[in-house]
Amino acid sequence: MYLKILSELYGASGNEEAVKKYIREIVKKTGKIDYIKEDHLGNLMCFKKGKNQKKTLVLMAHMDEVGLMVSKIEEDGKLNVLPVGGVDPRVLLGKRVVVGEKKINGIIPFKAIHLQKKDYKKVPDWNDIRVDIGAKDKKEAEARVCIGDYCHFYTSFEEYENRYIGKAFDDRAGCSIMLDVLESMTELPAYNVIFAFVVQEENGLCGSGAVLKHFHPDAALILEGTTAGDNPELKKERWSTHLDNGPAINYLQSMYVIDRRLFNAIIRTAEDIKVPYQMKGRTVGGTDAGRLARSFYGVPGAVVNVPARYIHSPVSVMSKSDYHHTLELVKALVMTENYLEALEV
Amino acid sequence: MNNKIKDMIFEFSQAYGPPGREEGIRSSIRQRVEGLCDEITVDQSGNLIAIKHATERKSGRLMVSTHMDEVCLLCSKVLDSGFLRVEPVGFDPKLLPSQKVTVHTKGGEKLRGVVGMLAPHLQTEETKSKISDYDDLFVDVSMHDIGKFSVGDFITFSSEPFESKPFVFAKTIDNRGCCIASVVALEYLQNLRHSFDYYAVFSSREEIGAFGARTATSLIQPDLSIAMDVTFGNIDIPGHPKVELGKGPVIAKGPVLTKRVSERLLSCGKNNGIATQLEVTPSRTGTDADQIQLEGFPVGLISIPLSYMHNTFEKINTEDVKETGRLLALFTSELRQEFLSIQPEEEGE
Repeated sequence: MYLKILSELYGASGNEEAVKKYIREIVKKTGKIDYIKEDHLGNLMCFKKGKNQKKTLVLMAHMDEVGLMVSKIEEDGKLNVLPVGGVDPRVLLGKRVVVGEKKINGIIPFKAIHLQKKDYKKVPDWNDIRVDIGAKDKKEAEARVCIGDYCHFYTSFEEYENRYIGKAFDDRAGCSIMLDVLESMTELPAYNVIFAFVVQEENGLCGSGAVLKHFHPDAALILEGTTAGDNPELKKERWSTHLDNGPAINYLQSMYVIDRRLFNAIIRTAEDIKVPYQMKGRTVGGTDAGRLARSFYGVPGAVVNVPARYIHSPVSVMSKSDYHHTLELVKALVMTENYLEALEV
Repeated sequence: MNNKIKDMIFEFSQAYGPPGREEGIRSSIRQRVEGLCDEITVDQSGNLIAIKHATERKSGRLMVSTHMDEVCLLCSKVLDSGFLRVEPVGFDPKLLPSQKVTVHTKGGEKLRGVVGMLAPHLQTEETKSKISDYDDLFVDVSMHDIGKFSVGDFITFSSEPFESKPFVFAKTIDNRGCCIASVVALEYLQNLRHSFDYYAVFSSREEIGAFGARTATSLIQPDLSIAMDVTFGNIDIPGHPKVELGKGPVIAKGPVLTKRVSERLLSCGKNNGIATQLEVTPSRTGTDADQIQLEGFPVGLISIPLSYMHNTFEKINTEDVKETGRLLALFTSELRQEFLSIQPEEEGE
């Protein structure tokens, strides 16, 4: 399980280098890959020959996470930042961040509660967000960071009896499961498999489409860390998924209706191997399945998710049993013929 | 010295000490003052009092009060679904979403909790346009057996301190920074003579009304006292002088504070080459000084400038902590009985 290290690596969209380097290292260590390919965008594609080489499956997770980018350096040495991917400024106040390649420590402060008047009830927007790296003035700040530097959440990973706590579970959970699947292979998968670790999902599904320039898979299986929303203040009807209920399966999502044949194959496989699963209760949020379906000749796809609470924030919570059930399900989908056979119907 | 101060901030900031539950920080401070004073006591209110006897013929008692408690949350409801509802002690709810916290259970365990925030995908226009207050906030403790939690559990914030010289960023520097200045003063006093018994009070329950300082004052009956706390640094407050980090201890003037004590602190700084800054407290000071005044004793207030008070990360300049400790030690050493003899005028009889 590589989730701890993957979660603690910094890699907002466009800055996936460190994550990719680590994944590539692990992939090579397994010795189970036929060849590795990287493209100009930064996608990492690992090809594994199958028992039947007539068909090819692309298994996909994105390496990037949401984060911030330095957009301006103020006279007083504080940094203005803008979001990379979907970040709600309300989760930033009081958090520790890491800026630039030199990994400069900083915090996102807010005015002392004693000095707030009307602003107590004001929703902070991007104009209220500053990063303090302890620089006395602009000159000192410029010696440490520059405009365009990435700024990442600083969150250590923690493990409990049935929970993981950390950042970037969307979608390092998917990356980690792919590595686990590869590592656990004792025989060839049913068909050829491309393990595709893609870039820039969070800024608009920008990386995945290019994978189809190099490979011509018959279908895609996207692995995601997705929203839970089973918070106490949200009515059960509005939950997206519920922790501990197993992998969440999408039937419809923003920009894409999941291919019915693949969807059914996932359900059937989960029932065959007796892994609990749940339907994702909300259709919000896009995944790379939507991108692949409209790239080149259009590759049909489906999505399996590990539910995680509070994603797109500095700290999220995931169920260990969900992670392991998702892993079991994905393994079965890769090793058996169920998934690609479904397309012949 | 500055490195030692940094280490102490790292240590003290992580020590447990909500109002009325200061046991963690009390034992950290105790370890640091042992060997620097002649007596250490803990009173009924939980104040830690370190006493260093006069090295010259005793002229009186000087008390220095720095509170050691911290802002926190209290568990107000336990939900079977694995969540806690909370009430604050001096904490801005806007800092809480997506924050790691530590729940201190009645069984004595320190358990991780996470204050959750709905992912942006699931927010509606309505929920996006409001801040979550304590009615909406919750702590996710689903990683533990829910039976371990109970109403009344204290919850503190989890934030790892770091240094960016000359600054340190950590939680609870309000008021552990001043506790450290008080320890530093005791260290300087090892090499100075002083004619007052020196009572370093590390007071309890300031964040809920400075009760600790009140009872300590009543117990010690000091001839003179100094309260130490943090003040708002590097921010423009309309109508107030701007106080800056790195420009030295801040001496306050105002009705609560005894004028000649404030003046003496300023002149002591000037004579010894310690830069000081000025602030005004035209009504209550919001520190231990208020309670000391109500007990009827002369009191002065020294503050250390700090940014982002009551945030999960507060910011301080270690040089200010050192200089505050030095000012306090020199003030103590230079204090003579004559200073006390300036009594209010009496008439009649």
